[in-house]
Amino acid sequence: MKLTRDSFDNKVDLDMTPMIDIVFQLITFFMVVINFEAGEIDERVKLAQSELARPPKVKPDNELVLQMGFQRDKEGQVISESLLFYNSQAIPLEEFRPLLKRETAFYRLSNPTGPIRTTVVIRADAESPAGQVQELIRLCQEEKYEKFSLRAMQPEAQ
Amino acid sequence: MRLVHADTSSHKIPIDMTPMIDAVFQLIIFFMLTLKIRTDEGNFDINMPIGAPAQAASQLLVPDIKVRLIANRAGGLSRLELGRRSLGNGDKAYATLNESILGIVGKGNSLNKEVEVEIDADYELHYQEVIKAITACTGRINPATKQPERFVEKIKFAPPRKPAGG
Repeated sequence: MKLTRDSFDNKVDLDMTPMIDIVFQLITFFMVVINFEAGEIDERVKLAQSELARPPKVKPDNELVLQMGFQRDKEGQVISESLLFYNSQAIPLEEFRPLLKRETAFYRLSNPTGPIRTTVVIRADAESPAGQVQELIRLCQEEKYEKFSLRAMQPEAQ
Repeated sequence: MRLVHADTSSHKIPIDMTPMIDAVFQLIIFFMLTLKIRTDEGNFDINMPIGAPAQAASQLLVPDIKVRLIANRAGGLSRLELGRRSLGNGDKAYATLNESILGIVGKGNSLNKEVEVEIDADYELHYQEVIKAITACTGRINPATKQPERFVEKIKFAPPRKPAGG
């Protein structure tokens, strides 16, 4: 066969369709599974396990997520006292009251008197002292919170 | 000017795909980096206003249930008590607690919603043990349906017991 100059000059047309198909499928997958609420979940908190723990069927309108746990080293060993992880800060429970008051003031804008309808979601580490969790609940009760939700994890999930 | 129409209809218009592919890959990278494999979390809902008057025992046909959790030095469960009855420790104690409470409230009893369980735990006890106790008090997994069934809705905590040294 005789090769002409034109046969070298021709551009090779790549069919991009299959790649674009796959790439859009990937994007769709990630968009479906992405969970922006996971941002409120602190990885340092190792939740207690319960076989009865099921995601709520109806999500409350307003919720205040409070997370109690420990600072841990790379091996996962506890290296601190029990702390509250709140707004990227790790603070002892004793210092939480002013922050809670500030949070409460926000909810009070829509409901100046009476109990606060916001649900307090407590994500406490399995190794947290029960007394600390109870004190956290009492602190919230003093600010007129009434609804609490204790978070636990299904055993097979870990 | 003379226009040539003959060949223009057969010419393909090349579309530059590069910007679109750039943007699409950026999107994929964003989603990959922000993706967190979410573990299923569940809730135990508690309605607990401060200073709510306890319902008089005489008004209730089913008595309130008190569960006491006593911690050992390491924060584990040393002893579990239902009322004044010791149930021991470990998973067997929780299983006994579950059966005992089911026996008290009765399966399918409409009064179950009125029954309140009070959890009284030592200060240093690991929270995991409290959750185990709440699990044992509030329900069980139905062996037939494999779905949870709740037989107690109301849970409350006794005031926290300060540690002896604190």
